[in-house]
Amino acid sequence: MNNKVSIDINTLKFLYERYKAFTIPVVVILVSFILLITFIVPQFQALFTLSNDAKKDSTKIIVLKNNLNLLSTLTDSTLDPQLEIVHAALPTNKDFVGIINAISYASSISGVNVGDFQLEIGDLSNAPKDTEKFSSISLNLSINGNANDANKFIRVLYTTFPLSEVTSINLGNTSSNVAINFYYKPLPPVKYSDNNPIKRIPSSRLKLINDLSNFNYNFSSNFESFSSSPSSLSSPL
Amino acid sequence: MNKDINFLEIKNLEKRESKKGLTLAKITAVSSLILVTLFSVLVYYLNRNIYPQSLKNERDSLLKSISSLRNKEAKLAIVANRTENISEILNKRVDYSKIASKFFEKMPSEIKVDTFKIDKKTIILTISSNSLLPINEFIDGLITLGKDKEISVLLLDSLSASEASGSYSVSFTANL
Repeated sequence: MNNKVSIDINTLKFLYERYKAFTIPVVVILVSFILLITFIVPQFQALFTLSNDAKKDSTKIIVLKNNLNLLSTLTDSTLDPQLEIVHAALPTNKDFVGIINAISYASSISGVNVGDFQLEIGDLSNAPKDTEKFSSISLNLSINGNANDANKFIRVLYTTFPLSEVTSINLGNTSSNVAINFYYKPLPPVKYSDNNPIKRIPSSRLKLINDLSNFNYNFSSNFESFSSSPSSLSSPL
Repeated sequence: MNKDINFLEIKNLEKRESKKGLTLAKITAVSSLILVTLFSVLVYYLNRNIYPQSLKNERDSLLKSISSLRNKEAKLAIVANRTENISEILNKRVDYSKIASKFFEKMPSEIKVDTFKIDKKTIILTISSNSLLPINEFIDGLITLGKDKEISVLLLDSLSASEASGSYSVSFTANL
């Protein structure tokens, strides 16, 4: 049996003439189907993404509103003194002027005579890159005075900016040696994120700033104009 | 010859069926057009309502407002970071002057401090006096410090007497 069907131009013409009326409805159905598949179905799928975006934006708006409210309540007159205190307490770089000021102030208040000392500052041109670790400048100090005087010096230094840590004390009859580390730490880069809520400074930290304001410090780097009186010695942290 | 053959009727039947098919095709075409239009309108409506322009405007407005407060945000972040760091330093550092003061408080005025070394864990103390009585009083004071848990271990390293200077010298080691 021969299954071959031969379609010639006449057959096609015949078929066209016969089904001519069906052409437009068929084309319309095909175009509708193509439109449905190509445009409308992807649009429906995109609606889910859009819905998620809308949810994210709604959350973001709540966060932004809260952040805006918080930032609006803060004033520069509150933040600036806090910034100055914390910066004086923990400098961002090798604050050798601040260190010399602190030693000078502690010696004048305690009445001891500071002997020779050597500061190993190191490289000043390149800022430390590691913002996670504390860096410190070590100092060995010779103090001329009895043990009580030297102890008073250490006590004053304990409440003087920049913050320091006495690592060893060797007190003698007439002179003493003290090893001190003065801390500094570079600031980490401030990252702004509109999706994360800005946190208030906790009350414990505000209390810390308040306590730090009683420390001895001098923002103008002037040897004689320390902002705090020696009475603050009686209120260590 | 068969007289029952009716060509006209068959032709009419075919025509009717063809007309029926055409009507069905037209209905389907119109329905699909209406369906596509309805879906388009629905998508447009949902698009506008799921993520309204007002939401975008509010977000943009807030972002604009907050961008003018970035300076404050930075200051706040720095203060928060610094207080955390400062708190860490204050918590870890030891107030040696306080510890030394406790020793000196227990020390009678007749006693002279020859050496007083203190580091993270140990205190080494050498004192001298012309009499053993103040030394004894001082040792009692140190024992009290031990009882108050100010020091964990107290060792009397040496007790010596110097005939030339006429004084007694005592060395202690205490662990913090």
